[in-house]
Amino acid sequence: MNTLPVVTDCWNQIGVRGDHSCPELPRVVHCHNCSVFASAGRRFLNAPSPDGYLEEWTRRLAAPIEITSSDLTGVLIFRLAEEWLALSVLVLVEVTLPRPIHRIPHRGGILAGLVNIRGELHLCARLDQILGVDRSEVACSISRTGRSLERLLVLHREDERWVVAVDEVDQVYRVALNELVEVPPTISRALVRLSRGVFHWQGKSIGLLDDERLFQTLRGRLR
Amino acid sequence: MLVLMFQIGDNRLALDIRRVREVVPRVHLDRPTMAPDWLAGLFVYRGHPVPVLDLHHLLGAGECPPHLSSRIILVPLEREGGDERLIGLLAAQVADIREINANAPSMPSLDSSSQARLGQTLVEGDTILHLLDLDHLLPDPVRKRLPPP
Repeated sequence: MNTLPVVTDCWNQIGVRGDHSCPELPRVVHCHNCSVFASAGRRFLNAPSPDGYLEEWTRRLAAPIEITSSDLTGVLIFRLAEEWLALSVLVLVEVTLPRPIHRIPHRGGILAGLVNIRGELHLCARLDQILGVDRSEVACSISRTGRSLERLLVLHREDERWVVAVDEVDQVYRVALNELVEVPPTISRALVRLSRGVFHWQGKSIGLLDDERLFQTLRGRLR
Repeated sequence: MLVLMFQIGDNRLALDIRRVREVVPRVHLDRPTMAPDWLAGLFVYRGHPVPVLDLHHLLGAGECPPHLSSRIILVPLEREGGDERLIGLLAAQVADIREINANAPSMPSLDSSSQARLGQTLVEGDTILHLLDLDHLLPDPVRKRLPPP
C-alpha cells in the first residue's frame, strides 16, 4: 500500500482541474491514476463517518428495491454532426482517440479506409454517409480544455469488426426498450430504416440504432 | 482471481469477489440482548433482517474503527438443505478490488479448528495476505447460533 503523504489538493492546482503543469501528469495521464490522488482518497475514507450517515444508510438499505423496468439495455450515447444517436454496448468494443485513417486507392464511398488500432488493421466506415447525416458543415468539436471531442468507435458483431468516427461520445445509459417511441419521419430515410426507435435523455431525442441492420448495411454496401 | 481487499486488526484479508453479493456502508445495528460479542447486530436489508458479524471480534482483533472505509460485506451463506441466507461481515478498510495470483506461494491455515479461521496465507508483493475462506471462517458453534432465516 502506498503511504505518500497528502499535503495539497494538487489535482485542483497543477493537475487536470488546474493548469496541467504537474510534472507527473504526462506519465500518469490523469490524476485518477496518480498515487497522490489515491492516498488522498484513502485518507478521506479513514475519517469517521459524518453525522446522519448511519441513519441515512439504515433507511436506504431497509427500503425494498423498486423494479421500474425489467427490459433495460445499456447503450452508448454519441453525436454525429447534429444528430444524437445511441448504439447497444453489446456491439461496442472500445472508444478510442482519433488516429490517421489510410485511404484505400480506388475505393471511396462509405469506406473511409484502414485504421490501425493497437497493431490491428480495421476497416473504417463513414457512418454519416450510411445514415444520411451531413457532417461536412459542422466545425470540429472542441472541449473546454481545447481538445477535440472526436472519437473512434470500434464495433464488433458476430465475426465482423468495424470502426466508425463520431463527433462526440457522451456516456453509457440504460434505456428501457419498451419505452422507445417511433422515429419521426422528418429525419433522413436511412436513419429511420436503421433505427429501433427514439428515447429522450437530458432534453435530447436520441435515436437508438439497430445494430443488426447497421452491420447488414455495412456488409452490403461494401460489396 | 479478483478479490475484495479489507483489513482486520493488522492483517490484510482478501475475499473472492464471486462470493460477495454487495458491499454496503455501516448502518445502525440492532443488537439483541445476550447476543454473543461477535454478533455486531441485525439490520433490515431490502425488507429482510440480516445478521452482521464483527470480524474484529470473531478473530480477536479488538474494535472495528468507526471510519467511512469500515463497511459491511454481504455474502450469501449456504445452509443445510440447499437454501442460502445473507449474512453481513463488518470489516475495516474495505476500499480495494485487486487481481491476485491464486497460485502464489501459499501456506494452509495455522489456526486451530475450534476457533474462527482466516484461511490460506498468500504472498502478495512483499506482504502477506489472508484469503478468507467463508466455509471455514465460522466454526460450527458460531454457525449453529446464527439466527435462522
